[in-house]
Amino acid sequence: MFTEACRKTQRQFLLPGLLSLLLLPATLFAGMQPLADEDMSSVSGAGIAMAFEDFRWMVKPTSYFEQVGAAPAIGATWQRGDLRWYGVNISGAGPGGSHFNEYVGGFGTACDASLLSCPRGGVIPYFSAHDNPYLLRAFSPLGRSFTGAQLNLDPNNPDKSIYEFLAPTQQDDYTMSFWGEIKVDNDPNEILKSQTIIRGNASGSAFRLFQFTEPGNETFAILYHSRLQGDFRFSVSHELGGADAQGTPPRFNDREGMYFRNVDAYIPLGQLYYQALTLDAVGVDGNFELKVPKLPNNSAVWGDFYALRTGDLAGYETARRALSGNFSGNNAGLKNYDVSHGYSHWGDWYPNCRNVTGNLATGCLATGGTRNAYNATNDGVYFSRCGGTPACGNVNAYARRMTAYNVESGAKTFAYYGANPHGIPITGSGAAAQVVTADVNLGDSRIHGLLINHLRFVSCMGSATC
Amino acid sequence: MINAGVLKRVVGAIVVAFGCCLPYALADMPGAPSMQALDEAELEQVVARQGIMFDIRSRNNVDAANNPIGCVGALNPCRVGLEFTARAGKWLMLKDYYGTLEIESLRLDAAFLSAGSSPYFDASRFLAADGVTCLVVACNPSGAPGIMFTYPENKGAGVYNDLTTFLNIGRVAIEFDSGLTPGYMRDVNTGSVLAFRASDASAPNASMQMRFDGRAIVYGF
Repeated sequence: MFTEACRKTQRQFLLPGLLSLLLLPATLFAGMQPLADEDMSSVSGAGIAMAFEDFRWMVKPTSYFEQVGAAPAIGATWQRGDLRWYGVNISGAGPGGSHFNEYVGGFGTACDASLLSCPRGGVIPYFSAHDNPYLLRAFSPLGRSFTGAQLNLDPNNPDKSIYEFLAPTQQDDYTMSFWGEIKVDNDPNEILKSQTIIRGNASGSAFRLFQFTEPGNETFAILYHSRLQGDFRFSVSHELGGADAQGTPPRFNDREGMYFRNVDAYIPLGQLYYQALTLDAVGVDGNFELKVPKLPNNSAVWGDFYALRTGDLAGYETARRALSGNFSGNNAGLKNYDVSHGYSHWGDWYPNCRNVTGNLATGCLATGGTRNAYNATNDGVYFSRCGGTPACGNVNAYARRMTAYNVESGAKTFAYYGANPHGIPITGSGAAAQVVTADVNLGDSRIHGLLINHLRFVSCMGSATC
Repeated sequence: MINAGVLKRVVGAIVVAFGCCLPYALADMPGAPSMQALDEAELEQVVARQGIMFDIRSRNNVDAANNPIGCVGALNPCRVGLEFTARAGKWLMLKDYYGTLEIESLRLDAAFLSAGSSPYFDASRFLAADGVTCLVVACNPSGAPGIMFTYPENKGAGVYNDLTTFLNIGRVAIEFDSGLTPGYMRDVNTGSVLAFRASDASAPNASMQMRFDGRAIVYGF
C-alpha cells in the first residue's frame, strides 16, 4: 500500500521523531546548525501523522504552570504579580464532566460539559481522526522570499523547505479549560482565582518553522496561523469554605462570568517566507524581543500580502468587498488575501455587506444570524450574574446612553432605551431609568481585514527603558 | 475501532532504536545513574509479540526528592543555552534550570487504522506538494499500519499517574560572547526577564501530575 518513498520517510523521520518527543532535554550547550535545503530536497510532502481517538488529557487540579514574577524596578509604579494556571485539560464537550474541586472526592462535583457551566468533560471521540490527523512533516510549499522572488516553483528541486505541524481540517469540538490564580505582590492573602473555559476547536491551525529570508537576517523563523471556533467563558465567582487558600481548587459558580458565544477567529502571524516571528537580543542588559519584522518594501510581496485567492468567497466580506470594489469587482489579481488577513467574529449576526459605493455587493449574504435580545445567553458577548442559592442580585444596567459630550461646557446628551423597538423592560424613568436583568448582552461584533504588518514584544529588565 | 495486530518488523525496529538511542540521550544528565548497555543474550528474550510497555525516570539537576543540586549562585551549572542562526554570540540562557520527567507504563503496540472512513475524512491531507498526487492509495490511509500509544485504561476517577514532571527555570536572560568566552559560560546579566515553573501545590518542588485517556496512533506516509 505504501510506496518506497513512504517507507523511507517512516524510517528516516518516524522513529527518531518519536524518541525525541519522549526525552527531556538534558543540559546542553551547542551552537545550532541549520539544515541545508539539499538535506530536505528529497521530501515529497510526506510526514508523520498522529490520530487521537477517545482522547483526553487532564492535569491534576492542584498541579500548575507558573509564570513567576519579580520585584519591579525601582521607580516603577506596578506591583509584582505571580500567575498560575492549574488543572489544564483538553477533554470532551458532550454530556458528563466534573468541576475542579476534587477535595470532595474523585473528579469533583459532577456537571454537564455540553454547557459552559462545566469545566471538564469526558473523552473526545475524534480529537483527530485517523483520516484527518495532526501532521508533522517537512514540506516545500510555494511562497515568496523577502526580496519578492517566487520560491519552490519546481517541486522536484525546491528552493526552501519548512517544518510544519498542522491541525486537522475538521475535528470534534472539545473543552479546553483551566483555573488560575493571580497573586499580587507575592502576598498569599492577595489572590484572585478565576476559571477559563473554551469549548470549540482549533481545526485548520498551522505552526511552521523555517529560515527567514530577509538578506542578512536569515534566522530561525516561526509562523503561526491560529484558527479558533467556539465559545469562551471567563469567571471568578466560586464557593468559599476553604477554597480561598492558595493552591486549593474551588468549585466555580455555574453561570457568573463574561461570555463570548459563537466565536470564529483567524489570526495570522507570519507568511511564507517573507514574514515571521523572530527572536533577537535588545540592548546589552539581557533583554530580548519577539518580533514580526516590518513587511518588506517590495511590490512583489505586496501583491502576495494584499491579494485574494481566486475563487474564494468565504468570510471577510466587508473589507474584501470594499477592496474588490476598488478593483472594479475583479478579484483575479488578489491571490492571498484570505491567508494574510485575519478576522474575529463574536456572535453570529452578519450585517449586509456593501462595496465602496454603498451598494449591496454581489455574492454577499443579505442577512445572517439573528439580532440578540438584551438578555440573550446563546449568542454574542454577554455578562451574567452568579446563580445558586441564594443567587446574586440582578444587574442594574444603565438604561440611558450618552450620545454626545461637549468638551468645552461639559454638557452631556443622553438617549433612553424607553419606547425602543426591541421590548427591553425599563425600570424607573428619567435619570433613574434602569434595565434590571440577570444577563446583559452587548451584541455581536465582527472585525475584518486584520493585517499584521509589524509586531514586537520586548522584555523590560534591569535598566532597560520600556 | 482499532484492529490490533502484530507487525514484527516495526516492533523490532523500536527495540533496536531504544537500545541505541535512549542511553545516549540520558547519559549527560547530572545526578542520573550511568546506563548499562543490554547484551545480546538479554535481547534474545524479547519477543514483543504483545507489544512493549516501558517506564522512564529522568532527573535533571535534582535529587530523588526533587531538591536542586548545585543550582544556586552565579554561573551555576544548571543552565541551558540556545543560539540561533544569524544571532551568533547571543545566547538565550535558561538559568537555574532543573526538573524531572517520569512516564509510567506507556504501552506501544502495532495496530491498524480503522478500515472505514471517519466523518472527518479529508483526502487533501494526503496530497503531495503538487496538489494532485496521492501519497497513499486513493488518498485514504484507512487500514494502514501504525504504532499505537496507550496508557493503562480504566484508571479511577481522580487518578493522575501517567506522566509526572517538575520543571524550574529560575532566570531567563540573553548572554553575549566575550572574547574567547562563549555566552553560555557567562552570567553577567544576573536579572531575569521571565521565570517559569511546572509543579504541584501539595509541596514545594512537588511534581505536576497528569493523565491521558484514549489512544494515539502514529503512522507515516
